[in-house]
Amino acid sequence: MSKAVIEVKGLHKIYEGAVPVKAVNGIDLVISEGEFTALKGPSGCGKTTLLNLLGGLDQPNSGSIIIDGTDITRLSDNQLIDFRLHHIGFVFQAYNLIPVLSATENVSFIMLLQNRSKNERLERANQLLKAVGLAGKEDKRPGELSGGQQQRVAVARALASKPKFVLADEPTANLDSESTTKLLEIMLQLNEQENMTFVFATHDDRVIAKAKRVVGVSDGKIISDALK
Amino acid sequence: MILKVAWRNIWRSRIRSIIVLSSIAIGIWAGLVIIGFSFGMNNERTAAAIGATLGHSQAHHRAFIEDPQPSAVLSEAAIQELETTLDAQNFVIGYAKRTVLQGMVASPKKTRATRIIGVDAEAERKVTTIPSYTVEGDFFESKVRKGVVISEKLAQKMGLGMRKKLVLTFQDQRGVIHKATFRVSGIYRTLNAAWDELNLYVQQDDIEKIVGGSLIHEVLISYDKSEDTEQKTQAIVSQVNGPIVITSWKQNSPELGFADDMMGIMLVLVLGIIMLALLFGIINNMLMAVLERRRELGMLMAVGMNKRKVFLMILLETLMLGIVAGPIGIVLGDVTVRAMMRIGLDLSTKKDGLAELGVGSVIYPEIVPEYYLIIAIMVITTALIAALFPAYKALKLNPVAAIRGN
Repeated sequence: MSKAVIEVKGLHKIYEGAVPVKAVNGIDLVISEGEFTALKGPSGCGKTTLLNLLGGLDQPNSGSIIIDGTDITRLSDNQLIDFRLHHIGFVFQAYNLIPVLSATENVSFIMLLQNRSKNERLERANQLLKAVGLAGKEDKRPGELSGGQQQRVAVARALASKPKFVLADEPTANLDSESTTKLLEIMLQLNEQENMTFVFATHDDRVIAKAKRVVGVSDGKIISDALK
Repeated sequence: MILKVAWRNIWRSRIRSIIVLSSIAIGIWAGLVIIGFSFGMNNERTAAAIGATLGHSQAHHRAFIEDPQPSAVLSEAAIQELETTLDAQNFVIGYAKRTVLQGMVASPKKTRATRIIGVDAEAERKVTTIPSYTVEGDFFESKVRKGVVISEKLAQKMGLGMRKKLVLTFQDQRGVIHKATFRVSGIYRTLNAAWDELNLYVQQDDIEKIVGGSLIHEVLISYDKSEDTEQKTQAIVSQVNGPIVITSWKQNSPELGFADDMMGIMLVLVLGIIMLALLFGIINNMLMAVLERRRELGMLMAVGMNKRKVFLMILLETLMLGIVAGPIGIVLGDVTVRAMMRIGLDLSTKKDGLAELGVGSVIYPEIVPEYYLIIAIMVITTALIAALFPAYKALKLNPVAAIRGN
């Protein structure tokens, strides 16, 4: 049996307001090493909130999130930033690359934050760009790349820090079919060859079709959990 | 790489950055030009006053300092002791003994109070520049007996001209009042209108013949350079005993000394005001830069860039604005001041007003190297302060909200 990389117990997240919204309402979830999991559900179901909680970007009202033996709900802001840097890779819907840096520099920037040597940064960045099919585009800036290519740079960046898992929030939402297919192929390849764990928040059927595990979320609760 | 990111970030909004860089450079340029002209004007006024009227220091009898009566004369013995001391100082290039009497000057038209300065023309020529301010006649070169050199301004007020007669009335050291007729042998005009109106020069020999003895009230001392005047004066003071009091030009002309001392403070204040204006410009620029990059900064914080590094990045960007614009402003200011040092700023239309201040009508700026360093430090400090608020705003971003674009 694979080792659990994320263990969620009794997770609640309520957004206070005139009418309090229970975005995550008592979720228990275990994600194991090497999984390729999609959190699916309609807009507003709580899947992005759950993903943010798993990534330590948001704090729950109650419950625990244990990653690699550490309950991240107990970490301070600074500890969380450091934890994210070394344990979690992120892929965002809008790519969020640094426009003034080349593809290589975007990928190696996160390794700079980890204080890795210049040679190591360059070597790994180029290796990852090659793995995502962007060999020859190393010196291109985001503005010179297509949406699909930018998202592949974002995947390479997410993997650069050698994280335990990658969280991807609607990674294909801005991509056309061809780019989506290519991106999914690359992520599946990384999942299978390097045993990298991926968790997606998505309502894109193409992603859901490729996922090896699909967790259905509705009204802040898990309503289905199926392994393929 | 953070340096590289900061540098490239500056050029994201090229026009905005160029505007900010230009404003910093122009501010520095203006500061340097103001400094150059202020120092030029002040130093010219000081140099003219020292050269023509004050000397670097003066020696008087203690009683003369308290009340400049004719009886407060320096004795032969005191003068001899002073001369020995002055001759031993390598920075003293000369000294001139003077008679100083308060008196009245009368022309056929008017009578005015005046200060009669009895000089040894040869000695005076060595230590003062007053002969060079002669506009008509000469400064006792023609050895006219009972000649008097008056100012152009006094000549106008008294209705006098060359070779005209005037009567001087004054008291000698014994309290005897003398009245003597002199003939105008020279007319002078210094940069100091107030000095000109009050003072006239006669030959010491003529005064001594009238009063029947030596009458030295003042010894004007000239140094090789105007730097460290106070220390040099102190060096003489420490070796002079008895009734002689040595005073520096700053003590003899407190208003001029005060202006000299205040110059530095005033200029730092002017620079401070310029920097304050720049501060708000830089803050505005950086705040816009931070707010435009909310999503990117949110991403950086999400992936693990800690607050210290976010702060450092904003700080570096702001510092770079100063580091790029600073040298440009300094070079522009330096080139302008150097060019103006040759051409001068012609303010002939304000000639009379400037003369009241003891300044010529063409002002030549001066290079003051230490202010380059002061400006550089002030620009860096301004940039550092300007970075604080935008950096604070960046640190306050919520990564999740920022990534969503909220």
